Amino acid sequence: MARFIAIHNVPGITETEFRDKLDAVGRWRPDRRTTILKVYGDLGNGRLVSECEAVEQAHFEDWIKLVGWPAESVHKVDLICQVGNVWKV
Amino acid sequence: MAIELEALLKLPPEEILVHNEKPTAEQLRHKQQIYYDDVYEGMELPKYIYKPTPTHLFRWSAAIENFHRIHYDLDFGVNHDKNPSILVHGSWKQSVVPQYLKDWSLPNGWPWKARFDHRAMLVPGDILIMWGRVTSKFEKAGLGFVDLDIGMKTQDGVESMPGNATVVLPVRGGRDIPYPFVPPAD
Repeated sequence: MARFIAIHNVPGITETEFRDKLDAVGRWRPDRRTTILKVYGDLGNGRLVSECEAVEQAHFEDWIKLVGWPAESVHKVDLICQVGNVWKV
Repeated sequence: MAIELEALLKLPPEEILVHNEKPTAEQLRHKQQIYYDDVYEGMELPKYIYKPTPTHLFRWSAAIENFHRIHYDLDFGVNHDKNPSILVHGSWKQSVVPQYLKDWSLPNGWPWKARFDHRAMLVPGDILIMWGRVTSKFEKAGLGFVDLDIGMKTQDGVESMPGNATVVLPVRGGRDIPYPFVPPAD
């Protein structure tokens, strides 16, 4: 499994739209091996950052198409620090 | 009101919860016996519906003194074990099965056998439907044996715990089920 992040440009996105896309397990876990772990939203500027655990980037890109938030860039993640814990992913 | 499993799975997740048929303790105290005669092939058992939260998982871990981090430490579960979130315990799912069969057979039936596999990973936010369906029945030595398919499905129809069970029910007008139960000789 691999970790990816994407930077999305979604001008005009509202909180309601943000919630609607993510508020059920089936939406943030589109299949048994792809999980959208986190999405950060700067709604004022229409910028989102999403984080995904998936077998391969193509599965993340499938979700990006499904959710309809165009990604400016997708990056593979090697190292995470979360509240002082460092993880090689 | 009872709804068939297939129809339940077509509902939006939050509507599924409304159809929970898990009885209260008070209802179980006054439960009417279901008899072998009342049961038919294809009959569905009441559906118990759960929506576990991180607090439930923490509480279960503490209660059974299972401190495996995948059940309560999100950081560890996601970044070390690569799980989709903290995970619902297999032991909790396992505890639902005897309770489910016991409740159905109360007050004088006997949940005799159950076997099941643990399949899908389940996470907080999943809605879990414990279900059962009669597959066959037969009478032996004046007792009613009922075979069931059982399982625990998610709101998306994923079967996380396929299995089967046998419950012994009294025959109407027949003899009591001996306690403790000893299966009749072949």
